[in-house]
Amino acid sequence: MAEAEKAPLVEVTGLTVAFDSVVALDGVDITLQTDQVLGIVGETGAGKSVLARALIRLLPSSAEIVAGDIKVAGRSVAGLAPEGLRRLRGGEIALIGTDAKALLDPVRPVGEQVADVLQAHKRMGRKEALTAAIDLFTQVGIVDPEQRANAYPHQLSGGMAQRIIIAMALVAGPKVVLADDATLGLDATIQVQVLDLLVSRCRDLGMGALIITHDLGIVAKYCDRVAIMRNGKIEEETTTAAFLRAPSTPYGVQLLAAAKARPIPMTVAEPVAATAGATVTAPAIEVVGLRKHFNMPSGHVIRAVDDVSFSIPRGETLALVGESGSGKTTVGQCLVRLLSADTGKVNFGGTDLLSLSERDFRPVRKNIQMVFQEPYVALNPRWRVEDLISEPLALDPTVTGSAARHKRVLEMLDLVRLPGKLAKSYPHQLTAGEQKRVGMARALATRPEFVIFDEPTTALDIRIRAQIIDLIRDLQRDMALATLFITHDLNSVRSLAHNVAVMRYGKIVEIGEAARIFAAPEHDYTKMLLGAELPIEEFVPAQKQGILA
Amino acid sequence: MTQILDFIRFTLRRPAALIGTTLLILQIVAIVFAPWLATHSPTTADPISSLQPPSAEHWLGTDVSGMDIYSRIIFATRINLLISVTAVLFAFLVGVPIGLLVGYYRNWASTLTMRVLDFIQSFPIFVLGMALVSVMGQEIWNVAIVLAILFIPVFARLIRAEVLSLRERPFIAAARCSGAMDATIMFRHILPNALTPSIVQVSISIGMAILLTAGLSFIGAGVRMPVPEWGLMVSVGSQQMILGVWWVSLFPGLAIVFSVLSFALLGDSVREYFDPRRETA
Repeated sequence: MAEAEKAPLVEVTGLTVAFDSVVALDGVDITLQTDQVLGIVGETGAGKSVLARALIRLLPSSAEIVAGDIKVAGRSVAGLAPEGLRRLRGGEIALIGTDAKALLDPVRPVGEQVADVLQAHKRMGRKEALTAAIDLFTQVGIVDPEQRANAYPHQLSGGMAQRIIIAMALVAGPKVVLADDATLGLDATIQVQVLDLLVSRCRDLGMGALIITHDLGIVAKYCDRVAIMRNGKIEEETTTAAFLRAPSTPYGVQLLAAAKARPIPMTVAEPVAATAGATVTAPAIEVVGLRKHFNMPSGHVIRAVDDVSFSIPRGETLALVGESGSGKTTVGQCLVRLLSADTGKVNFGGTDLLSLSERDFRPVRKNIQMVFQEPYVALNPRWRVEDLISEPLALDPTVTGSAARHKRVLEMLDLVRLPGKLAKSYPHQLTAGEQKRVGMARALATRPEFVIFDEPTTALDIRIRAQIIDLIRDLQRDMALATLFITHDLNSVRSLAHNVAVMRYGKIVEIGEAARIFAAPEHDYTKMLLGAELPIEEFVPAQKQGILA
Repeated sequence: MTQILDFIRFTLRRPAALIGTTLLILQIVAIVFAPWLATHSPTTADPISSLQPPSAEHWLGTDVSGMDIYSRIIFATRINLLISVTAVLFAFLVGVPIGLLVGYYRNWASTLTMRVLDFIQSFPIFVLGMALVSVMGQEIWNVAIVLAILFIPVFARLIRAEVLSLRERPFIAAARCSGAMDATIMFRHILPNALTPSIVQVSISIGMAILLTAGLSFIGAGVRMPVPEWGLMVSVGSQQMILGVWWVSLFPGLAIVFSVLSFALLGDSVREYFDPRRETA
């Protein structure tokens, strides 16, 4: 270690934490120096959050520190009395958690909440604290801070709420900031803004930061060093550059490989015309002028989908990318008639789907299926896997009788690489990856021609995500599916899509071949979106900063 | 089957559940073996031994017409539980489908149904009971029907509240994409997920029904003498209470307390048993 002359900010030695008798952390050693940003990366159950909670001594009562020591700024936190703990939390080490809105008190203006924290750590009057809070809001880049201070949490966007949490964390001038998946669930452009802010504040104020994440892209861009966690152990700990060049453990290699995008070769022989909708062969599905507006009770109209047109040939994938609120999911819901579109045409197999009555549309459902976003909530918790997968078979006249249905279910499980014995399981007995696969098996059971995948890779661990991407690629090739892939995860778009349509405020702002869009985006918004991507392939942090400013 | 075993194991570890179950078993024993447990006929008047205090002959004494109170309490278990259980089950069977339909289809008919249910619930229970029973006659079944009408809105509302949140869940959208029709979605997807609170409510409502039956009889809107019924027995005894004849009212009153308590405790236990957080706690 080059800067060994300074006492480390955080020093964890041989930390072992157990829940009852289950070991959650197993001999963890971590050192964080001043001015350093350390990324802690691991998959679900690796023990990242337990480590974070151990650092601020907020472990649940069922957890016990079996061995090891935690030193913050040279002092052990193990023997701290409540008063010392209070000063440790917030004073020396501040935690920034996931879902900022849930961390704020919903019934009080945010300015007052920040003022509370100020008064808890510094001697100052109420008025003074409120002024200081507004000053802090300015520092974390909140526009119009006086007004925002009077806002309630529900009136703020996710990114804004996270900034306020950061402001709170910085109040007492902590030495270490601990960000536990702090940007999970935020849009990519917001995520970058929040992390930029967090890291630059840390660097300006000379603090250390621990960023806990499952996204290697964040590590690549923001962290000096990285620690890879697995099963409660640190697998390897090194500089970010060294890790990205060549991880030293097999697990690190696996993780890095899984996080990298694997662009697909263009499967279509003829090049696809890059203009909206026009293709050489007859498309499997063609959407023309789709429109869906919502009339809000307040009287104003939300143009969720506003004149959207595209077409997808057989065997190809169109990725519909955009941030939350762009209307991409609404497009999918209109195509499977979960919502009825206002105007437009959806040409599928020679018929206009939007003009069909619900009764006439039902037979068509066999050929149009959707894989839902969150696997767990999209599966009826009281149904067994077998019943879930065979439900859509009622649409398939070629599968009749329970024997044939059972056979198809086993085929589908095999297709999504799940063992046949899972047929008897309930959704809650499956892992997130398995649930996702069941959702896919269910959508593919009727052998549809066109499938919509709604955020198939969100909220999955790195390696599971790579497996799901590979699976979708294989399925698409083998079944010659036309696929609409709705996502905000650009990394998986690179691995899956032939064509990309970028959506914003209900409109497609740019559409074209994936390779072209990534190489030479035309629309400003596309550029912004791509700028917010944190790819690990091109590890040049300095260059990317410019695009975001 | 495993679920029943699981519930028994759950019961054994909880004092409240254990007491509730024990009291329920005692009541079932009283119902099944009443003719053998009773020492006298519950409905035969014996004016000679009127208002006798508890003794070896009459364990809990006799009432004003000389009927044995112990035997009447035992036999009344049959009547009271018959009325309450029938009424609540009937309300459950009617209220659940109403709640399901009203929650699933949101149109003028469902709004109208909800307003009718509001009307029933806002009516003072005893006034409604007296009115209905006086029109239909003081029969056991009429009391049961009054109670059933009172409990229908309770179940309909509980189910409706669950349905309203369930119908927006993604797995319902997923089922629709799989071609599931309205009936399938309602009965196979929503209903099984919506039932738990109502099942808990059944037990609690039975307790309430016992109390209401007793209350209706007490004010004279329930069953008539000489039918053995706890509330009626309390009512009959209340006239002699000021003369120091305490046993006529006290013992049937205690029977009501224990019976209601048993169902309330069971209701709480069932609620805890179905609580998904129980597994993780």
